[in-house]
Amino acid sequence: MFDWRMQLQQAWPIVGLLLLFIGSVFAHEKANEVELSASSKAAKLEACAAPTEDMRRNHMDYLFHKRDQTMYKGIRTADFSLRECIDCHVSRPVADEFVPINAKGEFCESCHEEVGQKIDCFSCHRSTPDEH
Amino acid sequence: MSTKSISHSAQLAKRRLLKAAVTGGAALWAGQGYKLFAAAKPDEQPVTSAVRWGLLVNVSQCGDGCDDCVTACQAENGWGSGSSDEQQSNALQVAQWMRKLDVHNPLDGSTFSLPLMCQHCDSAPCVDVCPTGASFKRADGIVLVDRHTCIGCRYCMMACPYKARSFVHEPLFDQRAHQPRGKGCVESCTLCAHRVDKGKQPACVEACPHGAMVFGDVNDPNSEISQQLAKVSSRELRKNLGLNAGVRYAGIPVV
Ligand code: SF4
Ligand code: SF4
Repeated sequence: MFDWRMQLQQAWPIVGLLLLFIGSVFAHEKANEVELSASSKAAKLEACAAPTEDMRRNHMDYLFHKRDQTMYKGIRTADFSLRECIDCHVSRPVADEFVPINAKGEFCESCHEEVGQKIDCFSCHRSTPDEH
Repeated sequence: MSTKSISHSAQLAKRRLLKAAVTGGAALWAGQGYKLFAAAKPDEQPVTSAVRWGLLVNVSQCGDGCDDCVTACQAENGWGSGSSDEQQSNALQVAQWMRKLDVHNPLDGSTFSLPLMCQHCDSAPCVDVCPTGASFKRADGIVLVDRHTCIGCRYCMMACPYKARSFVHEPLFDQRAHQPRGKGCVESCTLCAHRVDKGKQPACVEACPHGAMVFGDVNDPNSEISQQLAKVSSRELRKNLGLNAGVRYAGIPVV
């Protein structure tokens, strides 16, 4: 006779694995979301200097290009300037107070930690807006 | 996606308009405070060799014991007293983008004092010797260090006849946003390129209470600096080296 209970017992490991797999897909989805700090200016804007997908993939190239434009040619426009990135994305828990953008859990660091990329920008660049 | 980016660029445009209005207002207001150049370069335009920035220091007007230019440079660029850093470096190691030199002639007892900083040489020895290309000269004559490329070999410090460069020995924090600086890189006076690009004068020139410094385009015969250079006798420091310095000094007693 066909024993359903028996079948179910044997199927448990498979069901468990399936659940784990689905869970990991969702977890992965979540990790892919760059969390904007709610207190940042960026959270109030619809998109970045380029569409979000583009920025995720290519921000480093845009930054490199802009840095050379600025340094060698004195082109000081706002788009893709690291200073503007910081100004827009930094957490502002209280007016005129900032959390360094490379601090744990902050905009730059959270994503770079996720992908295991060390950020070297802030050994020279200021990590908060400079208001004075 | 497209609606998003359209509305975003509209937002950006609005922000820029606002910014322009604010800057315009500030320029009007600052009219008397410091001189804005007649034609500030638009932000998106690259610097060109049609301009060569120069500085004329009138030593006879330079106050004895006054170092307002140095303090202003420190505050503007975040070094020395303008920063809380460099706690571990000794007095010979700390950054010195600009210093006041007291010159004493033992033969006749005469003294004078002058500010010394990067002379923004036309044939810059620092650029010549740099093995990585980090030391470079902009089209408008301003000599800078690209810290992204500098390996900290300090060859340029050896080559500079004016001892104008410094090396950063320790981790720094709290830099000025417009002036990144950090451990392992060489640095020197930038002629306040970030200000000049915005049509302002270098911080030292603006701060000098004795009006001893004139900044401007030496390629433009109508600029104040060109007029002064034509009128008063001035010289390059170590002219014998033939570097065609961008910084000139007037009023140095001839011995
Ligand atoms: S003064 Fe020194 S640092 Fe400045 S351009 Fe000349 S050699 Fe280079
Ligand atoms: S210290 Fe940096 S800027 Fe100076 S010569 Fe070496 S690499 Fe070039």
